[in-house]
Amino acid sequence: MSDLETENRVTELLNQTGLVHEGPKRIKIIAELKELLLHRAPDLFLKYSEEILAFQNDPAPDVRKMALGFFEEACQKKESFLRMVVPALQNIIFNDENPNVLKKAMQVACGLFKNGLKWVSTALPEEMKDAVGAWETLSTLRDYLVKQIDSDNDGIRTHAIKFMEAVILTLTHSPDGKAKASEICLDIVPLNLRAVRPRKLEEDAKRILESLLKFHSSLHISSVNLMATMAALTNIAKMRPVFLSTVVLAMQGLNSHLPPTLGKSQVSSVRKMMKVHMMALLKLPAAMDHITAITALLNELGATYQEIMKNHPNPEEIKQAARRKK
Amino acid sequence: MGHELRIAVVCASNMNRSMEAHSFLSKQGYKVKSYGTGDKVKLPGPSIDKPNVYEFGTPYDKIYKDLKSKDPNMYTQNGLLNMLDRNRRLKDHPEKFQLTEDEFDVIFTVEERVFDHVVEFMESREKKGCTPVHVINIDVEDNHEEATIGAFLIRDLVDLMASCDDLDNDIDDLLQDFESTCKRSILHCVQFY
Repeated sequence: MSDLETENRVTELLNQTGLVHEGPKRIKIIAELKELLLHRAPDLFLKYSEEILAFQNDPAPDVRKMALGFFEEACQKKESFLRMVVPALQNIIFNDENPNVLKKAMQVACGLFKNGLKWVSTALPEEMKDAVGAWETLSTLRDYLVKQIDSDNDGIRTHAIKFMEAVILTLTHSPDGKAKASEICLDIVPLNLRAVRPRKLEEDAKRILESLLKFHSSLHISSVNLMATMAALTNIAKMRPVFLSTVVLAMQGLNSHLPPTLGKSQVSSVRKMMKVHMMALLKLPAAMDHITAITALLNELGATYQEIMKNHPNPEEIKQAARRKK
Repeated sequence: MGHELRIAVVCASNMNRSMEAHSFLSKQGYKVKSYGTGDKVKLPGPSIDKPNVYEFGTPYDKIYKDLKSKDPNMYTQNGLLNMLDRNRRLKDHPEKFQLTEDEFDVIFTVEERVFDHVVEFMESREKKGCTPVHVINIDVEDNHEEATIGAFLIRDLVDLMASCDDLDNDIDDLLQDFESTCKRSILHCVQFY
């Protein structure tokens, strides 16, 4: 298909969206538009962005969810699209009353928050004003979404937990400043960048971690959210070993005081998942400093000696790794 | 979410329990896929220490013909040929869960060991985003009768889930209520893609 044919098809599809009112058919049309504007002719996205962004107000919730996925992918292709997409995300997060659309928006916000930090850290001087604007709006959205940990809706709380995990990992440095090339975190922020203050962001991340720990130890947390929080904390400890001792303490506390509202099989599920997470932590080189606490907890959770030894970090390998670092 | 739920049913060999549930759910119009988590596909053989072992990916039709050529009477009487005939009409071959890149809203497992395999795989897999998936285990013994009962239970649970407007909000209560009705303990956790 030539560029002209692609553009003709795009206009044809956009015209169809005005005539077709059934949600599933509109989703099919948007899927084709996404393919054309993001993969076949990405240069056209900017030209038709207004029409695409209008899907944020579509009456069908599934179309709005689909549109959010479209916006997210566009920003992954080019960070500067955040200039248009962030206000659309803000509109949905603040105004959409459908919990399923809001949950999708929270998933998308996880990715866009990272894209925002990358853009503001690498923007060319002529883009900087827009990048800073997008980052400031994303930071406002961040504070709003973190507060959703107190939402009345259990599913929204689950998504808030995952969002908080993503924010904490983004707003902290990787161990030894050696993040993977694909990882977006504070390591990528230039020291002389005035628009972003890494030290303040790191403080924000610690504050959000405290909220997550408080939620983790709350008495009336649901089974599903307790397991989501355990997974989030474990992942944070894996990626940021500086928080390992805090996470181990939180797991010990939880094991001694499981929420009284949990049913019998929910307790089994929580204990099973706690064992899985503690085994994952045991494998970390940083676990050497907490080995007694971790193995004691694993014993209480019913882990056998063989299971613990299988996942036990090898002291020789750890010593060698430490020597290599020096 | 209704019939838009993306469902996976997982057992050890993707032969009996997961395929029975796959058959039930697909007849109801659900989007369902089925898998096994074992190293190999294992079926009963002439004695307990001589099982028939195949690689995942071996077509059901090929296994059917293989067993038929080995002992048509025995494999007809123990129901294996009937089961394989049903399977080959549903899909081509048994699939290993740990090799799939598909994403689901709900993954059902039928024994604790399979639940552990699924969780282990989900934990080890690189996370692309923040999309949740509920992993639910209901113990089902590996025989024809239990597989049918298990498939009924899974279908009943899926019907309840499909009728929810907001599954993530309702899942805890829904599973608690279902557990007391079906009188089987349920394991549940949430994982993320």
